[in-house]
Amino acid sequence: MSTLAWIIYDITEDKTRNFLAKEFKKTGLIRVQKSVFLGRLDSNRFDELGEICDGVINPETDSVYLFPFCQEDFQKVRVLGQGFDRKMVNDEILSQFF
Amino acid sequence: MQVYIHSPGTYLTQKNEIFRLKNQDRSLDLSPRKVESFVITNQAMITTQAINLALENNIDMVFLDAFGDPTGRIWFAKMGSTALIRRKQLEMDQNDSGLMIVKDLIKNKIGNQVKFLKTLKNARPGKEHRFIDTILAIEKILQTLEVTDGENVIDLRNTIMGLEGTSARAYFKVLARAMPEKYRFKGRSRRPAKDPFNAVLNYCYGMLYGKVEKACIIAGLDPFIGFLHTDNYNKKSLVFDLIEPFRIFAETTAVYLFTGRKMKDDYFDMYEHSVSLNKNGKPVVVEAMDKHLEEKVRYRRKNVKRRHILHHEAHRLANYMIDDDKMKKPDWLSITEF
Repeated sequence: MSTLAWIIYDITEDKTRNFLAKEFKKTGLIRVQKSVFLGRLDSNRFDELGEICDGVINPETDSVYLFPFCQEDFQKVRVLGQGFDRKMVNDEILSQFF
Repeated sequence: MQVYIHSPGTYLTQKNEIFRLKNQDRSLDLSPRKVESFVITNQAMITTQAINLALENNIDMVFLDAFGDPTGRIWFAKMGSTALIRRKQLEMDQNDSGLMIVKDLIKNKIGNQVKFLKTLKNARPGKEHRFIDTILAIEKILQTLEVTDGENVIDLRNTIMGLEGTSARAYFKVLARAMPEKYRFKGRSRRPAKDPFNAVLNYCYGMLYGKVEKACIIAGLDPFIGFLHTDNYNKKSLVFDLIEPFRIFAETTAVYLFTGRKMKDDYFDMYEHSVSLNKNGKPVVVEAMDKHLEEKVRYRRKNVKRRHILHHEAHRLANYMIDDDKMKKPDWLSITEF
């Protein structure tokens, strides 16, 4: 089972922040804003990412939110200004040409 | 997703375990989890780290020639599953049980083609007469095939190939008549294709070929030990045997691309004696084919994506081979999409 997920974070330490950003990218999430990632995840990957974040952040100063998100609501998302590729984050692109 | 590298001079590398594609000032990052395969159709540079990353993540890299046929692939150093399967495969090549499997595969292929013709016929009210004769003729061939049982392996092989050829000629003749006026073609042509339809069909077959080969390797089957010579290739190859029932996927895609008026003249490079898909046309064809394979159809009481059916069938074949008492003859795929 895979689900759409938003990951939003606020991390003070550069090292931790960069480490987590790489982890998010590795799992295939797309960076939609400076500290916001969005993409489709297997539900166990979602749990895994939660554990990874939990292990490295400083609970006194940092915060990471992982939001699972349903398709129905995703269709209603409004994007203003600089947008992201909806099909890309939703894994709808089957063939990518380069 | 499938990643097609088709602009010359593309550079494929990896950074922090993520693939990075670069071409002049364009660049694209892709997570290995989202990539299923790289298809390289043009001059590209690939770093060894990128190849390693692909291997670690079970992503295959396929290299295609201008016709869309795979020239090679990068795959891990070993085949899937147990060597017992391949030993049995060789044994079956010696006796005629391999040929019985091929007979089933061909029967299935022809059966699928008949169903497709019927679908086309039903979608063209008033023009049924164009199809009926051929459908009856092919169905008759199918019945002949059913009762065919040659004296020896060579006899049987020739009979099967003959019947298959006859049916294929009739089939393509009637497909040509379903085409828009401009794109009617005269029979099959490969290497080079002589008309746009054949160019598209060859390209789709090529894509399918790569996928069937992958399915064979994963299932532990040796793609080079086939049971029947195929017409165009003077070698035995399991891939060409196993692809038969699935050719319909390529044929449907190609036919609907033309009847749906999706193809334009500037998708093709026309030469004096040949026609080939060019850089504008390939993405359209590839996308249509991928979309077709991604659709779910009813298969063995389940909803399965077409491209997964290839894998299921390859595994069934492998299981049948190592099944010693051979009592359970596999009933070949029953796709009820038509």
